[in-house]
Amino acid sequence: MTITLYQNLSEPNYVNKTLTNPIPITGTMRNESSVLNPVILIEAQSEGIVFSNYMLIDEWHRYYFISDIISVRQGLWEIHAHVDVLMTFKNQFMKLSGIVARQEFLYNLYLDDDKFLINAPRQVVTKAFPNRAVSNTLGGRGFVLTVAGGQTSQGALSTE
Amino acid sequence: MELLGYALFSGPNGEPFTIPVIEVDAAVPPREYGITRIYMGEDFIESVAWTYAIDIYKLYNRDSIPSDAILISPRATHGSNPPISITPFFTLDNMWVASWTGEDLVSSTANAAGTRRIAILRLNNGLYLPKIGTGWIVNSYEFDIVGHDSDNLIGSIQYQSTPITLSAVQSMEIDPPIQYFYEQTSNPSGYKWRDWCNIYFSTADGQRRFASLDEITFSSTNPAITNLSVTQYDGQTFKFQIEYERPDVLVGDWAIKFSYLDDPAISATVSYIGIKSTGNIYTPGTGQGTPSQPGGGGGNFGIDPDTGQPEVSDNVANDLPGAGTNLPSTEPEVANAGLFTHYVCNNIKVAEFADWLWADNLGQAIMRDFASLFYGSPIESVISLMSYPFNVGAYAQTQTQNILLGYNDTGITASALTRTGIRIDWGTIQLTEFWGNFLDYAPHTKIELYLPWGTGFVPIDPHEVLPGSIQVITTVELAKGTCMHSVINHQGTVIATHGGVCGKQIPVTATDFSGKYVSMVTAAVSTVVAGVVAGAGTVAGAAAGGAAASRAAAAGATGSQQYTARRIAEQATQAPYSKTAGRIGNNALANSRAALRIPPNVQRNGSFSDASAGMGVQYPYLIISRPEQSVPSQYGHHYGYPSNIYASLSQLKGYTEMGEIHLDGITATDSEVEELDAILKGGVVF
Repeated sequence: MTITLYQNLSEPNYVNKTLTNPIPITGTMRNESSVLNPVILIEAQSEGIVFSNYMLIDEWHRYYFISDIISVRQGLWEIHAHVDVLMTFKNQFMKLSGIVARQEFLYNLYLDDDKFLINAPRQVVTKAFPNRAVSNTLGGRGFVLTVAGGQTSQGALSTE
Repeated sequence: MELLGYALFSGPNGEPFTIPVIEVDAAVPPREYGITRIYMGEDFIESVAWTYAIDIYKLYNRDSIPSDAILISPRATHGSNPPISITPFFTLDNMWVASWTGEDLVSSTANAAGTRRIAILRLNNGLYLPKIGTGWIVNSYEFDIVGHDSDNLIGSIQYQSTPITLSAVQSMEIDPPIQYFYEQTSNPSGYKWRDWCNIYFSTADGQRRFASLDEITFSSTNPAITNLSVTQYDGQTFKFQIEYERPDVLVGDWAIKFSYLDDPAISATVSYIGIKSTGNIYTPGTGQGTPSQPGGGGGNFGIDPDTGQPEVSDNVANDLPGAGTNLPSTEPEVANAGLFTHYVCNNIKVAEFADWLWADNLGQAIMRDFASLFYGSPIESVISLMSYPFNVGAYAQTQTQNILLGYNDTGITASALTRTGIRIDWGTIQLTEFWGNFLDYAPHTKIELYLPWGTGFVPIDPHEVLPGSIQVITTVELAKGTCMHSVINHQGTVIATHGGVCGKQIPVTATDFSGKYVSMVTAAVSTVVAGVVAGAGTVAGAAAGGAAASRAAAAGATGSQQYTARRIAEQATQAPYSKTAGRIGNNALANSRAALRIPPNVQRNGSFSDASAGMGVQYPYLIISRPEQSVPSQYGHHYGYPSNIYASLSQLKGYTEMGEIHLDGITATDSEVEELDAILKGGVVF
């Protein structure tokens, strides 16, 4: 069995982890262990183990977050780990499709965003319609005098 | 990313050359790569060679760099020029990136925080033979910088010898930055993206202008760009439009190359990195709406069930009363029916009319009121006098004639209305989205419309006018003074109507001599009749005079008049006819004067109506109240934006929260699948 210890520089929710300083260790499993939450005893003199926070177990085809490292005695380390499902199964789930709820670059800004905050002050703008009612010289007023009679369908009435 | 222009430098032999200057906003969410500046760095100048430095802005902010992350490949853009050779200049120590396959990429040095200067190139010097032809002398070399995931040009370096006849692209403007439109019929995927860019060309001497668009060819390095067309051109500046399919939003880098037909070496490349993530997407006007797939399943998808054709809005605005040729045909007939007449007056005409009603010349008053004996008092013919806060004559259709009060001709010319309805178009306001997102609509944005003449503020639903326009047309009924404001959107739909009152009734007053005139004339006539009878009394005797006196009394004469009548009767029996008649005339005049001393009546018609409509603002306007957004930098990277779009995970980059996904085909335990499902829905970064 080959275990490779790494220093993971990425956040846990990154699908692709940035892994540095690999420390390959070869050995044999002597005790039973959970595949998802393994506890492994490693006998090694490398001090780099204490800087490791991530590991790959090739034979189990899984990447793991190292959650705890216990120094049992000189040169013997007990490593507690939990499977990283993102890194482990990324080649499988990346082929899938689904409904995206939120996305950094693929979005619809017309959807109401409940995480979006607005300031208390608001922008208030006034837009006047471009035309004005035509005014005359006396306060812009006009008059309509309505009188009885005075006109027929052919024109103005007369007294004749 | 903004291509700021080209920096001009002098070469070893005095020849100028240019370097494109590209800058990315500091608030830009980091893309996996992006060129901030390309320039000639002073630190790398050697005496016999030229070096070029490229600043890369946050080249991969999280992952190790693939070996093929960025390739920089030189190529000559002019076939007649000698090939370029690039020799290593620096070693690869202190490289921020792990490895490179580009043999020409030779060094990296630390630069400002978050920035790495990675590409140092050195060119062999000189040997650029100018080409002479059609006024253009060009030598240029280009280096294409290609992103690993899009295979698109993301930047270029040019080297040009003297004289530079085309300084190429000076600036690029994305205006508007990105919009989308829906084109379901021609595009099965349903969406396309459309960019407009303003490209500015200029020549070194500032004189050269392209004669026509035919002198320029365009080619795109992005095969997804399905259309490229020039919409404006003035010889030096042109605006073009591109379209590309929606999947390219994910790898939205593109570049377009412009070449002069006669000499392809005269070329420039405009590159565009990212999907407008180069700016804060919540900045005004940069929103990209991407509606989810049509849902519901039971809709008619805009098909009119009656016609089977796409549903369109009816332009009901053309049916407004008073709207040009669509005036109701009955209205002019009513106006000209002869029952009443509307005269449009200005203040001068109203003053003339007042003078006529309040005649200060007694003779005029008597003559005016004489007609009243037969046709009634003039004031009784006045129905109303309305005052409007605008010049009615500018809108009304009229016919010039004298103002007639019944049969009384005032002699004052005025304009008689042939239609009592007029229409005032206040114009149109174009409305665009401010934020380009949900904040532009209700309930976040509120629009209020102020309407004059007593109507006040009314709410407008932003959904009905955005993006588009709003127009207000007011129809005024001049006879009564009421008005109706019609609010119309860009689809020609009347989205609201509101009534108002714009006319103010003014009371009309006048002197009235007619009643006194009747008394006076009646008395005088009675006297004359009595005198005539008295003259005849020289023949008929006192009995006849007594009878005249009796008629005078029966005619309602006053006591003095009856006395006069009796005196006439007496004189009729004592004096010759001629003398008696003269006295009769004198007495009649005296009686008439007595009647005139009685003051005339003052008549009025109408009263003041509410004038508050004229006290407010006299034109409509909008008040738009928008929320002020508070967006931290890197919002999308930490939260993501609402998506609700079905997509393949392999297409996604950056922060992602899955709404729903079926984890089929995963060779994991149940607990691992459950954990994976929870993590994908909780937020991951691809």
